[in-house]
Amino acid sequence: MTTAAAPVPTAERPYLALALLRNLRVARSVIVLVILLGLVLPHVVADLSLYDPLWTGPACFLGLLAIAATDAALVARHRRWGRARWPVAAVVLALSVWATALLPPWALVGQPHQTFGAVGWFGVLLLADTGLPALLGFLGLHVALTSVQLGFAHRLDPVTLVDLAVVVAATAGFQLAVGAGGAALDRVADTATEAARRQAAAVTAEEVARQLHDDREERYGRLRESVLPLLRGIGEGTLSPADLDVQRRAALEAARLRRLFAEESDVADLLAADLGLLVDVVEQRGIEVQFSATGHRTVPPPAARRALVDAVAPALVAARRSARVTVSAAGTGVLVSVVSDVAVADAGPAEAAPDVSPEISTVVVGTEQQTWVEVRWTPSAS
Amino acid sequence: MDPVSIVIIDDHPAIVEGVAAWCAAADPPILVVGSGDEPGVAVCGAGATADVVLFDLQLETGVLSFHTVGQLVVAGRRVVVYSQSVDAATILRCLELGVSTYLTKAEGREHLIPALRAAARDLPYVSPALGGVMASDRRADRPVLSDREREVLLAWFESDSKNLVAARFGLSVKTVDTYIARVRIKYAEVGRRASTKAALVARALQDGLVDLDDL
Repeated sequence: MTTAAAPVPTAERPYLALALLRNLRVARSVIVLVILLGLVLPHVVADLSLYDPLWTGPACFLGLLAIAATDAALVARHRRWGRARWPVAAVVLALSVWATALLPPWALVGQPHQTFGAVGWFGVLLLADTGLPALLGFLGLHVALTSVQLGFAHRLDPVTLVDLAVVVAATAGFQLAVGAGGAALDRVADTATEAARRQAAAVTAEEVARQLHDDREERYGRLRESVLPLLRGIGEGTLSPADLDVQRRAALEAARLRRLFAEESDVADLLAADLGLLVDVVEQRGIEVQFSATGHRTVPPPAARRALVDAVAPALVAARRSARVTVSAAGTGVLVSVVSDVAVADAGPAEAAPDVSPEISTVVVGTEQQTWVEVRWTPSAS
Repeated sequence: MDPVSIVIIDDHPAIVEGVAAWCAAADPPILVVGSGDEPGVAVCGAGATADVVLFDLQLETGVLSFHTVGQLVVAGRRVVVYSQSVDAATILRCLELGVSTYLTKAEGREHLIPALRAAARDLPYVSPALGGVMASDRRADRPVLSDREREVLLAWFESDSKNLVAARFGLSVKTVDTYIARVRIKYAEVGRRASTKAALVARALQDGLVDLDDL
């Protein structure tokens, strides 16, 4: 038998919708089993003598029961009929025709003819989830076949036809209602799922936008504090590009901007890369910079890297002719050091970066000719 | 005292010329008695009697001539390696082979001239690059350094200025020198070359850089 795996929950069909549809399937299976065992079976047993030979009545009943049991087993295993539904539906109609043919003409559409009311439920079991038209077609075909059999049995009298109409209205009405309810539930689940998906997408997009915004705010906030006043000052003429101090500030901000733009870079030693960018800016001004690194070093997180580079940058940018930059391992931490050929007073403020401490500590040593700034990052134990 | 003489083994003519010019300009001058791009110049002719062999570790592209360094040391020569390589493993291996000292080519005249003079007299010379490597040495069989020795060595690497190191730790420049020299002696102690070790230790003792108790 060809059966298809039940759909697994996906973003498009979350658990809620699947749970509703599954409960509906369970309900259908239970309804059919109850009808077969509670309504049909007592009449098959009671009217056994009507069948000739005797076994044909139970055989027909067992055929229907087997299909209902298979359906229950599939539901229990979270599987569906798949393409097998069509031949099985044909088998159900064949059993119905057989059961009708076995009964004597007088018993048709009467108490002994319980299969007539029950067969429609198999249409619900097998075809409801393919849509209402298939179920309507199944029910219509079933009534048509039974009517043809009534014709052969010469039972097309008005009383029989009224009985037929009453049974069809009573059973098919229920069956269509359950089928239509399932289809409606399917649509509601789809709509709810789509709404949930849209809502999740909107929440995600909002969160991404918020994070990007915060990130930019944080990055550019730093620039607003330092770059814009400098540019404004130069633009308005209050700061002179010829002034050595203005040149240093410009070099410092240029190095910061380069670091900001390079922050996503994918190099192995990000700290050395950050320092390299700063060294480039200084070397472009004709300063001779020695850059050495030693030891196996941990790469500090971005905030610590920024604090380390920011702390040594003013001394490096202040260099007149030469400077030395080193990075070395210090236990689990990192040491960044800059020696610049200017006196401490001219080396610019060594930014103590108090907001990043206690992981960052700075030592400044100065002579009349040189300033040495050493910044240590010690990761806090965690 | 006779002037210090050296032989230069380097495959870059510009380096040979540059070092020769620094030596000539030094006070007192250092004599360059031979130069060439292969080790033979240190064995035959005038180069055979030079006090110090200045050796470029990378005479062929991509090949480091550790074997030649070892042979020169075994032959009793004082070898100063002058190399592009800043790799810690390379530097430590040269120390083990028994070189007098190791300088990177980024370290110029201000380190090369004193290093050559020190080597000629079997005195330790530790350039900042070498100091950085020794301070960051994490090998299991490394010499045991005191905290202060390591601090001073690392500060020397960072600052390239004994004045700054002295100012930072409140020491005299001579004391800074002593700390650095002592570390070099400790490395000589664990080195494989008895001749380098004996010469360095003997001079260090005579100059009061170390006590017998330190060793």
